This record gives sequence, C-alpha cells and structure tokens, in this order.
Amino acid sequence: MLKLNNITCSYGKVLALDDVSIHVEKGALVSILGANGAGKSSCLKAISRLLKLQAGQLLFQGNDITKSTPEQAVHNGIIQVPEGRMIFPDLTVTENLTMGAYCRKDKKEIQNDLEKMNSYFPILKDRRRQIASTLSGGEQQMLAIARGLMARPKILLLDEPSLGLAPVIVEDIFSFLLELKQAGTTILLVEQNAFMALQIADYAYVLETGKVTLEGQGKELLENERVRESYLGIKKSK
Amino acid sequence: MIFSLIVDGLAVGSVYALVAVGLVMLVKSTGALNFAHGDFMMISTFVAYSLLVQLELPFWVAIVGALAFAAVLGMVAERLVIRKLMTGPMSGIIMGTLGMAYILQGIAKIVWTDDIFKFPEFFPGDFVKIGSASISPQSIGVIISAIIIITCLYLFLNLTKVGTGLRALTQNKTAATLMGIKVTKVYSLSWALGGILAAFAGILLAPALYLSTGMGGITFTGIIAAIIGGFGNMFGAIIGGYLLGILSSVIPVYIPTELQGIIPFVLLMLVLFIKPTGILGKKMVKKV
Repeated sequence: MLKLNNITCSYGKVLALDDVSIHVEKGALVSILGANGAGKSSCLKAISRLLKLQAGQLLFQGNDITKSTPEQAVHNGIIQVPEGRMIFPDLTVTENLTMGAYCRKDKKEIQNDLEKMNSYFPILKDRRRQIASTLSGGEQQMLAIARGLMARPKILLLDEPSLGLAPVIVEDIFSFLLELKQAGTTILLVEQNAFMALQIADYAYVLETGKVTLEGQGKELLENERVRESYLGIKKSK
Repeated sequence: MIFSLIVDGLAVGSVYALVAVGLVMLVKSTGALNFAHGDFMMISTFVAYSLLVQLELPFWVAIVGALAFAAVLGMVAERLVIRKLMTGPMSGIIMGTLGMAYILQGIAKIVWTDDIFKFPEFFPGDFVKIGSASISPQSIGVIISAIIIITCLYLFLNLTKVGTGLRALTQNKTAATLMGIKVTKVYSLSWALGGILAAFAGILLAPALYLSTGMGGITFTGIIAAIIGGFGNMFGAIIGGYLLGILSSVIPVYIPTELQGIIPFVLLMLVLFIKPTGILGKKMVKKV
C-alpha cells in the first residue's frame, strides 16, 4: 500500500534519512524503532510531504506521490498524528475533532464520526466543550488520535504516541491501536518504546542514524539479541 | 455634556477597535505587525469617496467597491510582501509593512492630491436628545455598525470551518498543515479580512473627520489599543479601542489642546505600569 523506495532526505547539510526503504501492506501494523535522532520522525515527515526528498521514490496505492503537497497527502488519506500531539490548544475538543475532518465534505458522516470518537473515548465526550489545553497528557494524546481518525485515514501515521505518558495510559493507547488494526486500519507506528511497539507490530524496521539496520516480523525482533540488548535493555544471559 | 462626549468617544473607539482587531488578527495569523494598516484604511476610504462623490454611485455600491478593493489590496500585500518576509526576522516585516505604508501614501497623493475632503455622512438626521445631552445620529450609526461588523467577524471565526481553520493555523501551523489546511490560502484570506476591517474603519471614521492622505497615522493608535488590551487578544483589542476612544474624547475638555496627542501614550504607560501584559493579556512564557 505504501512504499518508500531508497529514500534520502536531509536538513541542510545533516543527513536525516540515507537510502531508506520501508513497505507497509494494507491492513498491517508496521513499527519503526530507533533512538532519538535516528530518523524516525523524518520518515513520517517525508511521507506526509513536510520534508522534501533528495532521492528515492514514494508510492501510495501504486501512485507516485513523491512530488505531492501536504494537502494532497491528506486528500489521499495519509494522516499523521504528530509527535508531541500538537492539538490546537485554544480550540475546544469538538473543534479539534472537526479540524481533523477539514478536507471532508460529507457533513452527515462527519457528525456520525464525531459520535464514533465519543464512543471510542468517552472522556472526550465529557470534555467536548472544554478548551483542549486543559486536558491531561493522556487525554490530549487520545484527542490527537481521534482527530487523526476524523479524516478517515487510509493509513494512519503515529509519531511516538507513548511520549511522556504514564505506563497505564500507554497500555490503553496501544490496546486501542491494536483494536484499530483489527478493524482494518493500516498503521505505521514510530516508537521509542520498543517493547510495546514490537508486541503489536506485524513487521518492524530498526533505524540507526538514518539507515535501516534491521527488519523483520515483530515477534522475531523481540527475540533478536541485538534488539534485546540495544532497545529492550535485556542483557544476554549466560 | 459628559454623556454626549462618552457617546462620541464610543464612536471613535469603535473605529479604533476595528483597526486594533484587524492588526491583532494579522499578527496572530501571519506574525506580521502591519504598519501599513492605517494606509490600507486611508486608500480604501478614498476609493469609497471616489465611487460615492466623484462617480455619484449609490452608497452601497461605493461601500462594496471599497471593501472589494481593500480585500484585493490585502491579498496582494500578503502575496508580494508578507509571504516572503514572514520567514525572516521581525525587522524585515516591520520595514516591509512600513514600506507599503509609504508606497500607499505616495499613490494616494498622486491620485487624490494632498487636500482634505469632506466625506458625506451615512447616518444623517437631527441630533437625538437624551435628557440634556444631544447625540449625533452619525455616532449612533457608527457604534451600531461596528458592533455588527465585529459580531460578524466573531461568528465567522467561531462557527465556520474556514474560520476555525484560521484559528487552528494560528495555534499550530504544522498540525494545521497535517489536517490538510492550505496554509497559503488561509494567509491570503486573513489579509483580505484585515483589509476589509481597515476599510470599514475608514468608512465609519471619514464622515466625522476630514478625509486626507495623512489619516493612516491611526495605525499607531490601533497598535496602542491592542497593547493596552493585551497584545494578541482580540477581545482585549476591542476593549483597548473603546477605552482609548472614550478617554481621548472626554479628557481633552480638562487639559490644554496641545497635550491631546499624548493621551494614548499616557494611558498605555499607565496600563502597562499596573499590568505589563495588558488588560486581558496572558503571562508570556518564553520557551527555551
């Protein structure tokens, strides 16, 4: 469904992605792991067309989207839930959600989807008239995901949804992502929390300083010695 | 006597409020403090004058014409000057908009000369007597018009998708882009709106004042009103505008005429002395 073929990007002279290839099948949940600054967010920025490619090709549903704009990406159904949540702090919860549906014209369906988000996240219904900046971190992350879903994504890109959240809430959010996947949404998940990400991923890539150094099925990588040592903090037992 | 002065002050304050709201909206949407705002107002009002007096067109045609002119002027300014400069330092934007102010003044002087013109009243009629005070229908008309315009702007920003999108963009540009909001389109729209607000202000102000190419100096009054209200807060800008209007109408009775010009600045310093962020301003948190 989504193919990054040999992509290279940089910020000025700093190389962010170096010849990266990543494939996401329809209906799959794919994770990208890596340390800070490994290029995970740059990957998503490139897919959302916020970052220009220097080389390589982006294919979505067989179409070349290498030269498309961020708005076109949204129209194509490529929806990103950005790192740090980036909710609109002074808009109400409901206004935030309707902004997610900015590119849609089917008013009735948007109303239905609002109801749907309220049933996914009842807390957002209780707080629908509240200004978004008054929500807790976990609630803001739920709002950011719900806002993304309001666009009816064909593929949902999530950038570090666990960042800065309590472990209990992280678990809630990951089990929600799993439900979404089972309901048929294609997901590309970028995470530092490697253990959680690998548990729910069908397939995963490990990025190190802009290069893919390892890839495989989620369960495979969970057993991989290098991943265990570098990303899960588990020392090899004798 | 004091009552009619307050009503006159409210009328002038309405104009200040419209100018200040326009300035704040542009700052919030594109980060540009528009020093040409008063000259947008001036030249749009001259366009209204020409349509109305020189071409003898009906009132509403002149108003719609001037508003359309102002909207296009705003969009052209955004496209040619602001869009490039907004990625650079603030000083670039300041000089860019100041440059626009001089250009517009120059054009206006060529087209309409340096003279002063009498702009016809929109709300003619006899003075209304309330108790011992007599109030001009023009003042009442200006106050009501300004309230209607500001209400319309409020409804647009809060109840329409595009208006909400504009507010969203001012809060997080990256997130707005990820929603599929076309950022350049919204910039263009906000400058068109800014132009329209300026034109309204001018058309409401001109009958009370003479029309001249020097009236663009109102930019500074608008900026002061915005700062008094708490810079970046639209409600604050409205409060600041009315406060300035009333005080600069009432106080001159008690002080020598020569000191009139300093009223806004004294008020500005007083307010900032008591509350450095302005009346409705939030505490500034500098992110490191």
